[in-house]
Amino acid sequence: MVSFEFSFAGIGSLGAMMLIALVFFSYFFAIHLIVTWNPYHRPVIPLISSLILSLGPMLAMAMETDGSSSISQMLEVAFLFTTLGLGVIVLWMPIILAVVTFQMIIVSRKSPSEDPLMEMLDN
Amino acid sequence: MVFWVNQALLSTTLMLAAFSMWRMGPAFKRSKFAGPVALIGLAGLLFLPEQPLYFESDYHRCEVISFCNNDGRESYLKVVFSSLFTISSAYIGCYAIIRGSRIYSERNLPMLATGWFLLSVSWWSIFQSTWFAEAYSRLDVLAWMVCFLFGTAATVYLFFVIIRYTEKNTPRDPPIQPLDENERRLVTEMVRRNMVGGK
Repeated sequence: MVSFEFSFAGIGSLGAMMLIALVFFSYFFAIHLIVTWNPYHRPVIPLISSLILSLGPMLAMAMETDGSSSISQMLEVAFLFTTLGLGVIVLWMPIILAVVTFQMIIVSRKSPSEDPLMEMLDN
Repeated sequence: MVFWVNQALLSTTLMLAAFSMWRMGPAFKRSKFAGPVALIGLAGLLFLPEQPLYFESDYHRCEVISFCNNDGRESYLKVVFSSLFTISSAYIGCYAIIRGSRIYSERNLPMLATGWFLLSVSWWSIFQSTWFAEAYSRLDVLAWMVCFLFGTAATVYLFFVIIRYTEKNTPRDPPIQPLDENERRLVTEMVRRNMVGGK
């Protein structure tokens, strides 16, 4: 049985949120490195690190209750971590939108500046 | 194995992958696969299968995990739909404002007004949602959000250290040749398209 009570070594839910951020962004970074594979970026060490940082806590949590784990439990825990990560990002949305709106006010009032680079391109 | 949970995870992964693919490469030549992959991911997120029925093998799994049942699925879908509406209206609105402003070309007032209307729609959808009002009035949720931010900063720093370590401890590439005429033209074209709106 999978229990989703977040209390890691007495840290409580605040520590759990930091762990969720770590797992979520490591997962995202691993996906990013895989789908945009480029040997010139030297991705092997970052990829292995991000896989360990994302899959390690998932495996630990899937094994938390009875000491064993299955693929389905791993997938459920992965779903939980990604959903909670995205959920907290969505919670930040009004603040992000306020910053974006402020930027759009600046953009709406802005006029094009004299740019020596543009002159160079025209010539 | 709960099917809708796995489908939601796969679709989220595809959306993240599409985002990464879309941001790679020169500005005028993004990955051709980003769009189709994003569409498949989006379709998977929006059309989730229902909770398993009592005669299906996954049915008993839903008795032991809280988010598996139809209530969990509907809550998930509700957040996905409202978030997608807010994000897409804000994205299209910002795009219209940037195109309508005087940054790249002459001011286009109808475009600018449409952009601000869509951005207002995005704000309206946020104010319509009781979710944000409830979350922002709870101290524990605000503490979670701040902790998530600290976790994000710590993760970014950790990867910064890992990448710096990788760069320092792997053999360096030989110095590259200066740009040839073809590459110089390509860079000039890239700058021109970015700075004068593709004209």
